[in-house]
Amino acid sequence: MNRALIRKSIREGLVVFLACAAGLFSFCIFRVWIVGRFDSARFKQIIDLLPRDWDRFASVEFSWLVSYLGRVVMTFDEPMVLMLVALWGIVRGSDVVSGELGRGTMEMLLAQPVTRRAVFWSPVIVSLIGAVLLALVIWIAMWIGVQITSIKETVYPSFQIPFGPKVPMTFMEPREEIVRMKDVIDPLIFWPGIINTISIGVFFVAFTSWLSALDRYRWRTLGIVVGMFFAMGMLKVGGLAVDSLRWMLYLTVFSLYEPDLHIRILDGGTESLWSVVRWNSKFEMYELGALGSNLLLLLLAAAFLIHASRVFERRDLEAPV
Amino acid sequence: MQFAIETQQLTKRFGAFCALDRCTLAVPAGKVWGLLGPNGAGKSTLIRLLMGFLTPSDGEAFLGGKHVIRERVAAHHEVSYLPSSPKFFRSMSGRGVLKFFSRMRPDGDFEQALKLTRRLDLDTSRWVAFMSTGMRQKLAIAVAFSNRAPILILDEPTENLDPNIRREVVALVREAQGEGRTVLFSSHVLSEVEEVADQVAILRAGELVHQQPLHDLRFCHRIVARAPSGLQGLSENPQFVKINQGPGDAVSIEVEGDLANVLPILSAAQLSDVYIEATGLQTVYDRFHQPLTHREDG
Repeated sequence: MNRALIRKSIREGLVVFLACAAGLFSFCIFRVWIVGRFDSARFKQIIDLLPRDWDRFASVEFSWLVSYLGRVVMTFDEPMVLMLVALWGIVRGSDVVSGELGRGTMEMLLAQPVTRRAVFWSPVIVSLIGAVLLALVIWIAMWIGVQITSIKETVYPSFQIPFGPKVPMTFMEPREEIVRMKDVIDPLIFWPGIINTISIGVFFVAFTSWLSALDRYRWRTLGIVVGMFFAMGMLKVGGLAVDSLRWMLYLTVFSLYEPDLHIRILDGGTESLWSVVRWNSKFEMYELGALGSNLLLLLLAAAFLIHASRVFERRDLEAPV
Repeated sequence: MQFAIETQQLTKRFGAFCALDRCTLAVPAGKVWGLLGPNGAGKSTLIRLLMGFLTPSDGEAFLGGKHVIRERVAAHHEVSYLPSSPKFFRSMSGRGVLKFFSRMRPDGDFEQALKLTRRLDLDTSRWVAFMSTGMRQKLAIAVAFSNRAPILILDEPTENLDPNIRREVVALVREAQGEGRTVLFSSHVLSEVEEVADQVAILRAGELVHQQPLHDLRFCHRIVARAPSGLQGLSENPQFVKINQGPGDAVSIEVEGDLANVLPILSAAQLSDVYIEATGLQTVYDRFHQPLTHREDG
């Protein structure tokens, strides 16, 4: 790596980063605040009306999803969040090689006494750090959202059993209580979702940088990655919707992006967050666990970046057009 | 002897197309070499191979004795490069670009770069995105000449520049040579190359077809005159290499060597309407790249 190149990459990526961060920050606070506008109990009534088939689209049970925590956690699944995280990776990753080549600026860079490895890795490292920071922005925004939001809860009068729990008296008239969301949700519980978001962000930086290292036109790199983004989205929907098409889930990285499931595991699920694979009752491996999903995303990212670096170190650099 | 720039049988093929064919070149340190040839002759391919942007299909190249592929970074310490139609980072100001490149090299000199931009009359406060092609060219010249690299590779350095700045660039090349630096200078403007180069290499269709020391060329002249009494005895003098009899009594005589030796002979030949022109590089260049209109098949 090279300090001048790092500074240049930061300068070039700053506007995109600030735009993505501002979008994520405001959206996540707003999204958490919106959750506070609807009473979970009422929300559950709406969910109950949905056909049971809808279960297949959720990686966690509906009863958890309709809780305040579940609905706040669904922020991670919002297309806006995923698209902004991916946007950063795609925009910055595509610039690493084909962007510089297309603009004709690569020649002047490579004429300097720096290794090609440094020219490749300096912007990549900045983009990877940007992906991590964006995930942290999501966490901070959700933390602030939780701190400033109040929620209405329908509660039944209860009586305290001596040395035991409170027992709600559901036969009595319920009353609405305003409680602070921070008393219901501890924002620290979001960390598995943040790790999963970092992993998918890192993957998009790496995958796009890899294509950029193979290509000479940024517009083509962008076209391919954006096309694959939507194709992988469709593969996930198709795989979830139709049993005979479940194999499609193995072809999309979005199968590895399940922050709600990972947070559910931390919130009292039966599995461990540190499981590489998930087992069914017959002990046949059937899906990757939380650690497995993140590891696979990061391993794929590492493989793409190492290959991209090697390709870039060896490839011919045509004259700029 | 170690040469500043050296290529041995350097070849680059793109599929079936051979862009550069077995080019062997050796530029001694402290010399200015012109690289000539029409578009597509292989000049840029040779330069891109020297800079390590392309991997040779065959042969080897060295800058300051460093292999351009195996010791790429060490070779780049030896060289400062000015590309043809240079492009810079649009999000930087001219000053930012100069600062960036001065930080990229241990021998980078930001103050020297600023001095050069003043000499080239360039406003460095302007953003690169708002610079004209000529301004970007000036900026690239300032970047290329601001460091202390012993070799300068300049690909069409005067492209897009006005005549005053062209003169400054030629002066900069002369100054670089005065400091003992080696310059490889690719250009389509023969008069500029002739003005600064010690030797030229002419490329044609990927082949290095001729190398010409320009010192010798400075003693080549063409005398055009009228010779009413004929040209008896002139052809016996070895300095008169070519005598053309034109319509009527018009004659054209190509002379090689010191003019002082032939002027008394010409005076005795009773010529009239005499004018003398330096035949120069154009004549040599035309030998290999005759304009289409002069070709028999043209």
